[in-house]
Amino acid sequence: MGLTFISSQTASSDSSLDFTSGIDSTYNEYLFTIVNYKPVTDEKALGFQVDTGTNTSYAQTITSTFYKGGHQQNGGWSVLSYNPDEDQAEGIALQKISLTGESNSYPAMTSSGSLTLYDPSNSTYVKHFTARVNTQYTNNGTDAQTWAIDAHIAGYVNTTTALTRVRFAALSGNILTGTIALYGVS
Amino acid sequence: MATKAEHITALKAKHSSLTRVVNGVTETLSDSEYNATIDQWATASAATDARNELIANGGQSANYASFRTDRMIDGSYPSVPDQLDMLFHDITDGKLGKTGSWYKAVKATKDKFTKP
Repeated sequence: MGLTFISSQTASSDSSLDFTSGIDSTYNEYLFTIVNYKPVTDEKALGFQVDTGTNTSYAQTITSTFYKGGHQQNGGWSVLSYNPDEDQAEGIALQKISLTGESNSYPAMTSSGSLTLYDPSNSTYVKHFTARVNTQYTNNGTDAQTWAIDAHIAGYVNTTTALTRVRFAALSGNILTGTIALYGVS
Repeated sequence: MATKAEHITALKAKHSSLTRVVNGVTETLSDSEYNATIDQWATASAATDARNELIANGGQSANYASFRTDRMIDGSYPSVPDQLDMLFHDITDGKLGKTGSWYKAVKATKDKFTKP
């Protein structure tokens, strides 16, 4: 597998990071790396949506799954569970790809991971995606209220129209910081 | 718990304008985009408030099963090892009925997050 860098963007209290170029039929896979995402507002996870052509509604129909594994910072307990609040069944909302706690009370808390979009230019099939994002999740920054949360998300955009653009945004409020880079996978 | 309308008012007071980054270039959202984004944020915040209210005080939810089993949620079921330990002590103490610690712990979770 070879990666070809296409572009990179960094948020600084912006409502979204939009990739509207570089996604075409050149590659069968496109990889987005997400480094140190942090929302302005507490508990606002990172989400993504996609669109076609030059459209800007970013409300394509998505069916998805979301489950997480987690481990408490003090080793107290672990968790493996499905999150029915975060998946979509033919929904058009931002697809959540991270979890986030009360970030402003614990400035170090961030999320990092990746999103892969498969064959976005295909005109016959739906568009599959997978994402895996780790979050340092905390309620108050204490060991007893801080976890590593490894989120696994997958699904498909239910359209046979070519996808040409991807938006990343917090579910509410601005993105305080975070760098997202786009690579073509060959 | 704030309503969606209250969230809209607060968000507009906090953000007189909004920007986004498109292919590395920062843009200011148009009026219609600004209003749509604020509306989306308010909807999400109101939903978060409702979920947090449910986690804090319990109640009916279509997702009651996940509230009961997600160990990051206060009031969810004890871990399986803890439940087995409760059963061991209940058997030792001759309390396998409704006075036992296992029954009380599981009932507390079922009572907090109820099926609609």
